[in-house]
Amino acid sequence: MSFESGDNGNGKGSFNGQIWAIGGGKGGTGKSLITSNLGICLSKTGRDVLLVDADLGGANLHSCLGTSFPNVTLSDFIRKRVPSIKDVTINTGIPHLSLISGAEDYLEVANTNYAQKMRLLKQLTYVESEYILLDLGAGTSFNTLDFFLIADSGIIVVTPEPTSIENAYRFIKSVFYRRLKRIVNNQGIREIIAEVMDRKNELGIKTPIELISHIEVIDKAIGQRFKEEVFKFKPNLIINSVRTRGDINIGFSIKSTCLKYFGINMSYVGYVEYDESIWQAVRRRRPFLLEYPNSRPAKCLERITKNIIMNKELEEEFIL
Amino acid sequence: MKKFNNQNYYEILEVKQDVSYKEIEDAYKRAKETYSGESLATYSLFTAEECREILDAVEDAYKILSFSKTREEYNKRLAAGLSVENLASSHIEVPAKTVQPIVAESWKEIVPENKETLQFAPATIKTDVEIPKAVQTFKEIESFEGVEFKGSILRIIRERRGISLNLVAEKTKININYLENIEAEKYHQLPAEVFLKSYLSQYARFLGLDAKKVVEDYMRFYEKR
Repeated sequence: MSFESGDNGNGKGSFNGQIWAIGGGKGGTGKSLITSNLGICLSKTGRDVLLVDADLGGANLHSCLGTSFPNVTLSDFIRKRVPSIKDVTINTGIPHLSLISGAEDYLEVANTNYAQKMRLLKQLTYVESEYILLDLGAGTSFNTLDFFLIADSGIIVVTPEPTSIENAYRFIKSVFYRRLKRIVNNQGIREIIAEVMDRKNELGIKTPIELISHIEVIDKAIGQRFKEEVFKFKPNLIINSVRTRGDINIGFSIKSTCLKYFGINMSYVGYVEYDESIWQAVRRRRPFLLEYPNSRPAKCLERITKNIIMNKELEEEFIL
Repeated sequence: MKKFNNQNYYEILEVKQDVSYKEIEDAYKRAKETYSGESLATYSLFTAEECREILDAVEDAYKILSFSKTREEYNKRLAAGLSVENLASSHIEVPAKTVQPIVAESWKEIVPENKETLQFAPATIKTDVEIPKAVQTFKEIESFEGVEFKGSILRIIRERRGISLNLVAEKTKININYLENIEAEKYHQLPAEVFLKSYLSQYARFLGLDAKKVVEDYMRFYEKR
């Protein structure tokens, strides 16, 4: 993502790095754990990485990194208690890795609009990192969805459990419709989209793919535009806490189901094995990638990071 | 992007048109796993009825795309924009399936078939058994009726399929020296019978042959050593 040069008070402001957003609907699937360790993986390659805890109300990214509860958070910047975004940026003690913690649910309360969110993102780029990782937290609020959509890479973390997968689909569905709605002004079409979100709609449209075919009949240009949007939208999928080969395969099944249902071609970038070492590291409030750099989950995460950077997917022969 | 029942067979299997038979096989297995059981991934978006529809489409796609003959015909029709609706039923004879019909076909693509090897292989190997016509004719659906599977025959079949011994070793995890000795019929340099039988059976399955028949035939020659 590149932003135009802007003024941040220091005269600097162009950004050619990458923004990754980590979401996925359900809480407790390991989003913060994965965000922090993806950040460490990236920082190990010598790139400057900024982690941003956008999990408003449930901020705990600092715990995953072993830093104490920060004195300054994103809220201080938004409320203009501090002049620069750099004033809320904390050194994590890990080389090349900095953190902005988010402790209060200011964004939710203020119901920030799209332009404000874009401005906030732009401010984040002034920290001069090559990678900005947004930990979005649970839920499908507009803030979460918009940050997910703005990011260069959207990453969905799912555990192989029914509730987690259901919520992930709900999340994808919400993101999907939000994206479609954002690109049309036609009220009639917006209403159709809203109606189709209910599966028992009177139009008999069951899947988003059918919706797009339907809209193409009404308005060819918008239908075409939708198709392009769907084609461009390529979220990354991570399956966390896998214990069996079957768990790993759920990733392929989710990918296929999303393609057949939404027409969205997800990238299944990898899985993280369940391992006792993760649990132990979490208890010690230490990132497992630093505590157990040679563990299988650490290797899994390195491969995921590589796949996202290289725009690749999990390949059969690399399954451990 | 189309609704799945308007999709072509490649779209249904979610593969590109130029994929190998191995990838078609993998895609098919994954689709079966996804849509036929009680997969966690499907139930909240698709009804059981919809899953069955998808599965039917997947079966149809697989039936055509897993055989070179039917797949080529399908590709031609696809390119020409012709109807491919009743391809399976009326226009192409779909070969009858055996237990594991696809394996051999699948590997064809991994190593491109080499004309030289094809001409070379049968000429240099002396065999007591006449090579069946089906083996001699390139791309025909093979039938091994009346063939006795000794080492040299296995080697011919393998080479016909453009499969290197290295690949067999890599995929079956059988030591390449044993494979070489099996094919060269060096009966005195083979492992103990129990291992040999197991290797033969794996190798046969890899080539898509009737494993039981291959083991029986081979052991007959082995015992005469």
